[in-house]
Amino acid sequence: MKLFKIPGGLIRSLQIGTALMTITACTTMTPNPQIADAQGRLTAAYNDKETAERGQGDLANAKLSLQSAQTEWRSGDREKSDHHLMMGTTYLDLAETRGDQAKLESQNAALSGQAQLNSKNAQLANMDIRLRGKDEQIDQRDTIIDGKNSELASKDQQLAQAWEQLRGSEMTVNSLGSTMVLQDVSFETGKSQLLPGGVNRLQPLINYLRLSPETMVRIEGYTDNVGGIAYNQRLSLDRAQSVMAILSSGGVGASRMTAFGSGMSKPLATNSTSAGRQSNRRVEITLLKRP
Amino acid sequence: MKNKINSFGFSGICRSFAAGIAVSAIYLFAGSAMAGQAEAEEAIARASAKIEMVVRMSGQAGDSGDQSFNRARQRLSDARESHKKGQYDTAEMMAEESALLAALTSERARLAALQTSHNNLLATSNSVSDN
Repeated sequence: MKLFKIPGGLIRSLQIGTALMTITACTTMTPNPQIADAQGRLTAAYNDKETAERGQGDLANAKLSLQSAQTEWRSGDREKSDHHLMMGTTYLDLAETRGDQAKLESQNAALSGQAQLNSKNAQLANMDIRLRGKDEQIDQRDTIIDGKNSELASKDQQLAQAWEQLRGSEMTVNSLGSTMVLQDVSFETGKSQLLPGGVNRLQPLINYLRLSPETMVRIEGYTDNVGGIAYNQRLSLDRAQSVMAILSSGGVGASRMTAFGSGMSKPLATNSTSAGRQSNRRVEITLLKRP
Repeated sequence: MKNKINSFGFSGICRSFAAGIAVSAIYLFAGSAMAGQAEAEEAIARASAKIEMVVRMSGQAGDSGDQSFNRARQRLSDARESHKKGQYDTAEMMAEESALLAALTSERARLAALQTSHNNLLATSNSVSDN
């Protein structure tokens, strides 16, 4: 029996062809690690909140490009596969960049808010410091005012006491103010020198006038009708000035006082009796009302 | 005569038919090639405009250290080279990549600006905290 003989060259050619086809198939069917890496990145990008949201369109494009890359790779078109792979990874880069932008925008907004808050807090802290300074100044002034009030209260009290003492000196109230009358017995006869008793009577007045520095004083001397007019005029003025000198030496400013000599004018009583003439010989000290 | 006519007519029809197919094929091929060229040129123009826009907007994109800009320009150059060689598909692909890389450059420039703002805010925040 004669078998059909296959030429050796043909067998070798078939073997080589089969081998080449196998190699080609293996090459094209081997997964491309770069595509696999890119698909891993794609999955990670979808799992990242900001990237998935902000890069939504880019991720969809990346997905399509990688699928195309895989298809072209399987079909053996290396150039197109590389192109789609490159497009896919660039879309991934874009999506990741947009995701990073979203993260930074969020952080910057928070930092900006924090910065504004810090700025406000710093302003408030400065204002607190200034207010504390003001509070201290106010406290100091309050202390001074309290001291002044205390002094005033003390002076008021002293003034009230002095006025009470003065009221004991038989003050009379008239249209000019309050008038105290020093009768003739306070002076030596025919002289202007005040007797010790008269000086003592002036002491409450001095006390009061020292505590009431704004009170103005009018001192007016009078005589009876005994003697000449000029003599009496002179004597009444001297006595008024004598009283003024006593007050001045007690601490009452001379500028607050005015002395007059009215002689025998304005008698209080009749000059025809001894008692009347005694009443007419006098010095009137008037604490003038404030205008 | 009749046979001759028939014989002539059949072979004439066959030749005319073959010629028609050939002409159609030539037109189809030429049309396809022209369409590929137009698409490549359009893609190149788009990429070129995109790069120009990136340069105008960020000015210093080329100096920012971002390689995507250089890659975009290189791809555009490659696309033009391929176009010159009549490799329109390749040219179109290169141009597409170039345009996308230019878009990436633009977004990365924006990201860099945000990062600068972020650093400034951090510095301000720290300096206020120090005070």
